[in-house]
Amino acid sequence: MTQGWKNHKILGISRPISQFINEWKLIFAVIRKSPITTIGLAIVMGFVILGIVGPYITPYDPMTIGVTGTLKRLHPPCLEHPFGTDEYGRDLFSRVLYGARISLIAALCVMALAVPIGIVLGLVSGYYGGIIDEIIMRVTDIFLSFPGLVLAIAFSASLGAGLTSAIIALAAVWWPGYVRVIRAQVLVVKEMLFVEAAKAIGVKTSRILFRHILPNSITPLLVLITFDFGSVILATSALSFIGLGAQPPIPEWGRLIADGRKWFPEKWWYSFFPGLAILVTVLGFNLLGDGIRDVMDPRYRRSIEIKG
Amino acid sequence: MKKILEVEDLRVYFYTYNGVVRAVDGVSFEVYEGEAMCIVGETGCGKSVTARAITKMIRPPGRIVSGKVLFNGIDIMKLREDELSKIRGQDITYIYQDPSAALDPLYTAGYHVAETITSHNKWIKIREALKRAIELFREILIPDPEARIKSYPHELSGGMKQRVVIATAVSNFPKLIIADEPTTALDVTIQAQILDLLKELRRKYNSSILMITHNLGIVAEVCDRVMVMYAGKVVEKAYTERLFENPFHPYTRGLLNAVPNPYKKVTRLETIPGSVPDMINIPEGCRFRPRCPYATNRCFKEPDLVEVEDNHYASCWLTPGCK
Amino acid sequence: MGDIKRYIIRRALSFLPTILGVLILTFIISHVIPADPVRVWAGGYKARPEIIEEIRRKYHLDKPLYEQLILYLRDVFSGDWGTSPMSKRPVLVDIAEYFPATVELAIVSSILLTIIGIPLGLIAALKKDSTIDHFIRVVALIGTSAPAFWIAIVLQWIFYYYLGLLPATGRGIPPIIRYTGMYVFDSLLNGSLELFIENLKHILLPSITLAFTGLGIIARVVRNTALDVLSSEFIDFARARGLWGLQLYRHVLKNALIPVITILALEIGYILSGAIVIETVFSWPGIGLYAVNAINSLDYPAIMGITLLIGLVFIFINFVTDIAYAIIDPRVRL
Repeated sequence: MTQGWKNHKILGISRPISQFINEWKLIFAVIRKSPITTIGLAIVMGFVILGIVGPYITPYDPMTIGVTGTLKRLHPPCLEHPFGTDEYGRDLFSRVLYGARISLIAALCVMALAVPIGIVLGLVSGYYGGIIDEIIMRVTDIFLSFPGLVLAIAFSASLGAGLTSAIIALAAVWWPGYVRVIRAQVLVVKEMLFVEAAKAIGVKTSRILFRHILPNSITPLLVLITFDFGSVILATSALSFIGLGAQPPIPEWGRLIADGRKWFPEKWWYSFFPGLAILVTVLGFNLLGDGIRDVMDPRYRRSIEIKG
Repeated sequence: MKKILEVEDLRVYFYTYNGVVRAVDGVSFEVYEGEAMCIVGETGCGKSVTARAITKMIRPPGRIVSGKVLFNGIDIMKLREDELSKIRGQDITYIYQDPSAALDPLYTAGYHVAETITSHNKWIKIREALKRAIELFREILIPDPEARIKSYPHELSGGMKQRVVIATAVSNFPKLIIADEPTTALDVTIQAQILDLLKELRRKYNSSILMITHNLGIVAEVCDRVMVMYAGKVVEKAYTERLFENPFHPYTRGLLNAVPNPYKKVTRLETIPGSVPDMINIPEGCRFRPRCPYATNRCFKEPDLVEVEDNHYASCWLTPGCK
Repeated sequence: MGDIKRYIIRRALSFLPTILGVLILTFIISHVIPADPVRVWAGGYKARPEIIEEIRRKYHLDKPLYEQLILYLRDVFSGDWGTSPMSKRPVLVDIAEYFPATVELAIVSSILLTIIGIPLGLIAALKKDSTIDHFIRVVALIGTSAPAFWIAIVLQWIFYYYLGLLPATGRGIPPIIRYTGMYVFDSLLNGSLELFIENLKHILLPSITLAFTGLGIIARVVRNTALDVLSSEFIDFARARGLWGLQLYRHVLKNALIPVITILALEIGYILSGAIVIETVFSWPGIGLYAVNAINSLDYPAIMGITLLIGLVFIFINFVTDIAYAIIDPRVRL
């Protein structure tokens, strides 16, 4: 019996594991064909790698004041300091590099909190329906009545300034988006024959939810998560910029831009490079998400025209 | 009898990522004034594409590669888009298969008819056009026409929507009505009503009807002449009675044996083995050869459409006159 | 017409629980979450003990939670949104003073967004898969990937520092007679061209910044919607009926309207939150500047007031778009 559930040849709609893997192989092949998506993938991987390895390869210690010698304060970009230095003589290139790790960890934490909550609530809401659905959807609607950043600011201010508060605040703002997406998918999938069959045989509800409904609902979720990584990084930097997120001396990118404003416009490099880093990173996630979305769209796969 | 439509060697190809689909590959036929002509075939044989190609309504990745379509002496294929739009909806009109998809959900039923009228008669105002729409609705047997004018498509039943579509098709006194499987999406009881309606309108307006269908029952019911298509080609063309009484092409015979035939007594219904060919990699020679019980070596060369008896054409090596 | 009116009433009623929920949420954020609400409402650790007592009484922080909630709701409805320790004035008064500037910015940004974004999307749709289509897509992606406040700084550098064309900060000069409270429009109404141009110069950089970030989404949605509608069966049938040119495109436009309105409403929300981050950069005297100052001086009542305001405005915008749907699409009125 347990063996049989891995290969739903009987009912045809839910896919066997091998077919799942083949589908992913196809997806990667198509991704590789689109140059834009490959660039996105490359940027994202670069970002992750830098986030992990970054602090170990910085040419200068990003945190210690005066490490480059006080003569080099607010030095414009040069060979030794490609991004220039700040008012304490710290090498900005190292700081921006370190900032990658901060953004990466912050985004991961936010998603690690928001996504599971959103998925569970979405599954429950869609599957059980009725009053549970009503309540969950109402609460979700209330959260979604605010533009995300505004609500995050309110949460953040309540929790006190700092990166941890920002992370919690962002997670609290982001989870409703996932509830909606998962719930919509669940509503479709739960009507499918194989779910009815599973219920009839007496499979436990949680098993149905996680083994059958969730895998079939995952595709739009993947696109959303990819885009959201970028959005969360943007939001974190925005919170830090206005003073609610990372506090000095943490070299979070938004924080660096805010610090750089003091010396603007003459010492332009201070604010410019961290912002560029944000732009490139978020762009990477957006390109990747775009590509995945195109791949998932069956219309795209069907109607491609060759010149001739 | 006057010919109002003559199609000569029409070819429509679809250029897809997987290859070139030769959906319509050299189709020729004619439609006479006041007659009902049917194009019959399985799904995918190219009959719908032929119907759309007549007024150049083919969208990329499809393209009309070659062929002539003569309507009242003019080759439609050579016309510009604005000239074509004068013919469409007025001289040649369409009835689509799915009325729910054909009507714009944001506009009322009456508006659809009225704008069809005003787009061809710029001097008529919408108000007058709507009055004419009411008359048309009455003619088409839509109950309570004054109210139905203001109804939106989602408020109407399938049969009612199809009547609205038909109303747009006859609103400008067309010479040719092309009906692409007009009853496939409807209930059986409604089907009969719609078919009767079409017959009645044809008589009243003296329009010709080009009916696309896969249902031989409809062919028998409505059409004077029939053309059988298979895999993008015409395999047989004849008057309806003759086709049913004396089918020449093995495919036609297979089709007729698969359904109860009002003209013949048959003991068993049979299916045609195999399936429709892959339209990208078309088999050599006669396209029906892989499934034909009478196939010989001769069939590796494509047969021409030959007249086998009076006004009865078939394209098969086994028919007399083909040696 | 009747069923539209009925729909409006139904919709308005269904928003009431949402508004209540929004108020409860702001209450939870402001009264339940902070570790020490009294300190927070008093403006941080700078408050003196007597002030603390006053704050405790004023915001009912000594009472049990459910009673706090009721009193909070009562206060909000009667217009008492707290007093800002920073300005020593009622928060609502502060907001009323700063809000028009943000409204003006939002309006001008939205106008820029639509007149640039929609045509871009249409071009991308008509020239699908061409180089222009891809170029627009990339530019749009950059717009949504860049932090608004960074774009603001970059634009400032280019147009003020380097080119010297536009002013870096400030809102301009208020015209003598105030009609709408918005400098740009009022200067036109006052009939003064120089004033108009001066104010336009001031609003240009901030509004371009905000519009640029939203451009991508608008162009993308317009493009996809246009493609979807153009390939739909009823447009095909309309062509088959002989509809052509404007008559045909009327169908296309009306059907494309709904997703576009949806995204526009969303964009206005983003513009409002974007205003918070970029107003400081341009010293634009709007809600955003007020908010950032409030954050820096730990002016908690002000922050909550702004949050509540933007939430309510957002709900209102959603309400208006729902009505717009009902007018355009008869199926919605069910």
